[in-house]
Amino acid sequence: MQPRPLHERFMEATAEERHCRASRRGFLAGSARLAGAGAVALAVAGGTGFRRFASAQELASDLDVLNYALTLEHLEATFYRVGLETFGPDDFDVDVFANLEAIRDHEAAHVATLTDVITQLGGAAVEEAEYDFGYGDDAAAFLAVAQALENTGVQAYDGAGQFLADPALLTAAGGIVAVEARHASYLNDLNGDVPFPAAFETPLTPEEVLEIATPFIVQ
Amino acid sequence: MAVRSIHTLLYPSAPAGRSRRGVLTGSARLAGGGALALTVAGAQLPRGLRSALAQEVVDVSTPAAVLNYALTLEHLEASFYRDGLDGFVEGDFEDGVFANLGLIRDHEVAHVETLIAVIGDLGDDPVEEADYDFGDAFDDPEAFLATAQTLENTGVAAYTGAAQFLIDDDDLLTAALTIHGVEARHASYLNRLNGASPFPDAVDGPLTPDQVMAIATPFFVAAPDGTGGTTGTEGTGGTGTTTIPATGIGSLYRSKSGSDLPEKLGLLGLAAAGAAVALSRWEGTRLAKQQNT
Repeated sequence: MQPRPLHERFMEATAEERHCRASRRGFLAGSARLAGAGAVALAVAGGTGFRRFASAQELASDLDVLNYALTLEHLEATFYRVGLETFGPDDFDVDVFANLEAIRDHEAAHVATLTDVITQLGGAAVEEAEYDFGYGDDAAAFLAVAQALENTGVQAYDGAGQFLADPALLTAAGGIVAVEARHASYLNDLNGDVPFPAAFETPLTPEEVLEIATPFIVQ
Repeated sequence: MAVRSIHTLLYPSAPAGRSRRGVLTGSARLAGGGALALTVAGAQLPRGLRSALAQEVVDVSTPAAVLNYALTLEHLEASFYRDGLDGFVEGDFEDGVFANLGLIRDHEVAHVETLIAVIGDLGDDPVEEADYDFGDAFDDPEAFLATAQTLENTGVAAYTGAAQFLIDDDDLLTAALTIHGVEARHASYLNRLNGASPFPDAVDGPLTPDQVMAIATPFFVAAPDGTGGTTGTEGTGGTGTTTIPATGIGSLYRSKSGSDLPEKLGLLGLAAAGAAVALSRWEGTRLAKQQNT
């Protein structure tokens, strides 16, 4: 018997649960709303880093995958670094700020580690870009963007894992995506959503991730 | 060194399709211990558990075997929530918790059903649910949440460690990752419910199958009085908790790769600095292809 494509089966299994989770389009729409029209307009000209790795959907080498991941980690690391300079503990419920700091530190560690590994592999690590997250001085909007970023991060790693050829790198990436999922669970909860909206994650292609992330990238 | 599924290693006389709640055993100690969950998150095992590492090798030589390894853990989880939540009511937990635990149960059941179907499609036999003993976890909401935390964090680490065995099958790998992420979401939530950090490390530590076995073993009980043990061709089929013979299976990896990958992977559990070190040492670690070789 010819096994059916696994994604087909998994997607079937998740179909009935999808109604309870924010759809990809929903995330996109939410992100775009939060980022604001100006950011979206700017993004048309921006997002070149993503286009290089994503639009062609060419994650041909481990280096490509790692730089794709690093592009997202830069986005996240900057988001928290700048955001937590903008906001203070009093802007959130008790304990939230400390957890956001932990997340910030994780994303910074991911950036540092990925940069190191890419360099050791003889590659050129992508650099941090300029971003516009559109939350202004609204702490609730900040948390909503954080939620979108973390959930997208999980989906991006899940979609890109298959392109890694080195088992050790795959294990490392698995260790990172698990942490992104932990963050996503927490931020879903903070934003009043179910921490684990479906029995299976929905992996995204680089192109789909580009679509979501582009509005945040100015330059 | 024999190679068998983790299920048959843990439960040599597994009866088909039945689940019985076992009597209380030493697993209660584990169930109540937040310390274990913390060690799981750190991918480090107490020496006592290390000594229980299996002599026999968990079979991860084919994609179906890897999925059966995953299914073994999903059975454990699904059974835990299904049977455990039957004995609790909403008021046993803080607001919203019972509903979320019900969601987690549904997820684990969905994982079981999907893995069974996929393993069948691959032409292999999916492992059956076994008999488990969760100690006092079904009597005490706090113990239930602590055990749930242990199971979920172990699950995340098991998937993190096993993904590499599916590296040659893109679809299966991706599918496993989509489960892995959900286990991590559960773990995050349960950590917090238990008063621990939802995300204690920058990089989650992987566990090898032998490490997972050491954690899972106390939850497995042998078929009482030999019932259901008639098919125990490799096991004892006797009473009492299945005993896993000592000596490590780290050699599983070494024998196949000639690398010190497990040690490097272990470092990944040691927070960000450790992860950086481990990643920086990735070079030269090439596992032999896990399939078609």
